[in-house]
Amino acid sequence: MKLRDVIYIKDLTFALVSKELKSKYKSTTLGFLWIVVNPLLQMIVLTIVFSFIIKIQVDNYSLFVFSGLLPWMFFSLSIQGGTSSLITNRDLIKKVPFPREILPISSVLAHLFIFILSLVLLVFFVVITLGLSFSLLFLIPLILLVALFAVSLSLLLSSLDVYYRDVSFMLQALLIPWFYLTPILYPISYVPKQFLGIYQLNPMVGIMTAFQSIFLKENIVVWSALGVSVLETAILLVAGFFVFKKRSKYFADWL
Amino acid sequence: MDVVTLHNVSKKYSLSQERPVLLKNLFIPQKKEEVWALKNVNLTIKKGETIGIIGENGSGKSTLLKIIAGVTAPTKGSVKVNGRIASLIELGAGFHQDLTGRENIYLNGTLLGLTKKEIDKKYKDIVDFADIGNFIDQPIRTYSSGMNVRLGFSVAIHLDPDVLLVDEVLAVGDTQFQQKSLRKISEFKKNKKTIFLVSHNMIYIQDLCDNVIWLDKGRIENKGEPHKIVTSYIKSSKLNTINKSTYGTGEVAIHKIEISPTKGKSILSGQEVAIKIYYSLMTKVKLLNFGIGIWSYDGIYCVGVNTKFDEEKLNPKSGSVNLLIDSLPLLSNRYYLNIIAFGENEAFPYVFIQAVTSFEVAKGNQNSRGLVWLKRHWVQNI
Repeated sequence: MKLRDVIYIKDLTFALVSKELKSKYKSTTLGFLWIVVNPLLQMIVLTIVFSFIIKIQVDNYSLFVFSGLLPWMFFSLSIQGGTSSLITNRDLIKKVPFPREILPISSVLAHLFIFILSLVLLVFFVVITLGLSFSLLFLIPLILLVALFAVSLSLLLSSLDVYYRDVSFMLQALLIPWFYLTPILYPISYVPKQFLGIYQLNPMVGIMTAFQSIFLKENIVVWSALGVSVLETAILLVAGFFVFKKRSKYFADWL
Repeated sequence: MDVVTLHNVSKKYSLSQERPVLLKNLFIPQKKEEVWALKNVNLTIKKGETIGIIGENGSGKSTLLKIIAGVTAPTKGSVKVNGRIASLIELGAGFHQDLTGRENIYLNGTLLGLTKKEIDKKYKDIVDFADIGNFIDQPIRTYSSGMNVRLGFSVAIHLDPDVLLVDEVLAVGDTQFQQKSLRKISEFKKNKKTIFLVSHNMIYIQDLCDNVIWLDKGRIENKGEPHKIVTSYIKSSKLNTINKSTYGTGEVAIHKIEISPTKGKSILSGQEVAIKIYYSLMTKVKLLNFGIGIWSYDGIYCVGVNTKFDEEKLNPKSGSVNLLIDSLPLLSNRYYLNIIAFGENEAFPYVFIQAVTSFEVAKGNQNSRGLVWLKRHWVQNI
C-alpha cells in the first residue's frame, strides 16, 4: 500500500466519524451537552432508586454507578451503531469502493470520542474531590481494551447483519440481560461465590471492575476477570476481521 | 498499456423470496433462485480509450460497471484495474442533508477517493463549477434538486481519476451546464484518460467513443467500431420492444402504412419520401384529420405534422392519405412513426397508434452530425 493510500484511509475514517458526530448533534438544541446529560440523568435516578428504595450499601454510590454507566453506555451504543453501520450506509457501499471495515470502525470511533469527552469530565470531578492518583493512567489501556472489544464485536455482527437482519434486534434484546449480568448497579462483592466463575466469563465484568477501581480508589479489580476480557477480545478481534473480510466482497449485492 | 482487464468474469445473483432469518438458516437450508447477470466476459481496455457500452435494460451494463468500479466482486473470473476509478454515475454519494455544501464537498470528495489535501487544492474550482453562489455554506436540505445535482457533479468531475465511468448524467442540468460538462469530458479525452460511457443515446455513443461493446443478456454480443456496432444493435431491436400502444374512440381503423422508397431501396437524407396511410371509417364522421409523428429510436421527437395545422380539408370517407415529403431532412438513424386520426381535437383521437412502423435513413453522403439534414452551401467573404 502506498503512502497516499494510508493517508486516504485516515482521511476517510476521519470524514465518516465527523459526519456521524455532526449529524447527531448539529440540529439539536443542547448539541454536545447531550453527551453528559444522558448519563447524568441516569445516574441521578439510579442513585435515588438504589439509595432510598432498594438500599445498596456502597460508599459513594452515585460515583460508583456513574463510573460504571459511562463505559457501559459507550460499549452498548457503539456496538449497536457498529452492527447496523453497514445497513445505515448501504448507499455508500453500493456506490463507492472503499475498505468496508472503515464503517463499523468509524462508528465505534465516533462513540469513543463522546466517551472520552464524558470521561474527561468525570476525571475532572474525581480529581477535585478525591485528588490525583497514579491509577488514572490505567485508563488509557483500559479504554483501548473496551474499544477493541467493541470493534471486534461490531465487525463480526455487522457482517452477519447484512445477511440476517434479525442480528441487530437480537443484539438489542441481549444487551438488556447483559447489563444486569455486569456489576454496574451493584458491586461485584454481591455476586455469590459459587457463581463467580461463570460470572467472570462476561468480558465486561473485568473491564467494569477496573473502571470502578480507578475512579473509586478502591482495589476491587478482579484480575482473573480482566485476563478473561483481554483473551476474549483478542480471539474476537481475529475472528471478527476474518469473517468481515471474507464477506465484505459481496456486501453491495445484499444491501 | 492495459488499464482495465476482465478475465472470464461471471456474476451470479441469488434471489431469495424473503430475507434470511438467522435461526431458520442455521437449521433449514434455503432454496435460492440464481440469476447470472454476466457470463464469461473478457475485456482488455487500453489507456486513453473511450468505450461505449450499449444494451437493453437488464443486459448487465450496470453490473459490469459495478465490477469495474470495484463496488462488488465477480463470482467467477478476475478483474484488474490499473489506476484510480471515479464514477460519475453515482452522484452525491454520502451527501448528508444537515451538513453544508462545503462540508458535503469534503465528505463526498473523500468518499470518491480524494485526500483532504487534494480537496483543499481543488476546492475553489469545485465551487466555481457548481455555480451555487452563497448557498455553499448553507445545509444542502435548502438546495433545489438542480443545485444538488450540480454540486455532486462538480465534485465528481474534479476527481482526476485514470478511469472515468459516465452515463446519462451527461444530460443533466440546463444547456449551459451541459455544455460545461461535455467540455470537461473532452478535456478528459485529451488528457488520455480512459472513459466508459453507458448510454441509450446512440448519437453520443457514436460521437464520443472509440470502441463500443454490446451486451446482451450478460454476454458480449459484439464489440468494435462504434457505427458498425450501433447499426447492428438498432437493427436487431425488434419493434415489439418499443411500447406499442393503441387507443382511441374507434371511428377510424388503420390498416396499413406504406413508406416509399420501399424496402430494398434505402432512404437517404434529402430524398423524396412518401408515407401512405390506408384507413377505413367505422362510422360516419363530420371532420377527418390525420397526423404523423416521427421519433428517433433514441427517443427524440423529430417532427409532428397534421392535416389540421396544414389546413388540409380531408373528405370524411374511407381510403388512403399520403404525406409527401419533398426532401427528408433527417440524418442517418432509425426512426419510428406514431399515427393519429382525429376530428376536431387531437386530445380525443379516433385512433392513435404508437410505433406503428419504423424506417431507416441510410448513411449516404453523411457530412454532418446531429439530427437534421440541411440543404446548404457555404459562402466566404474576405
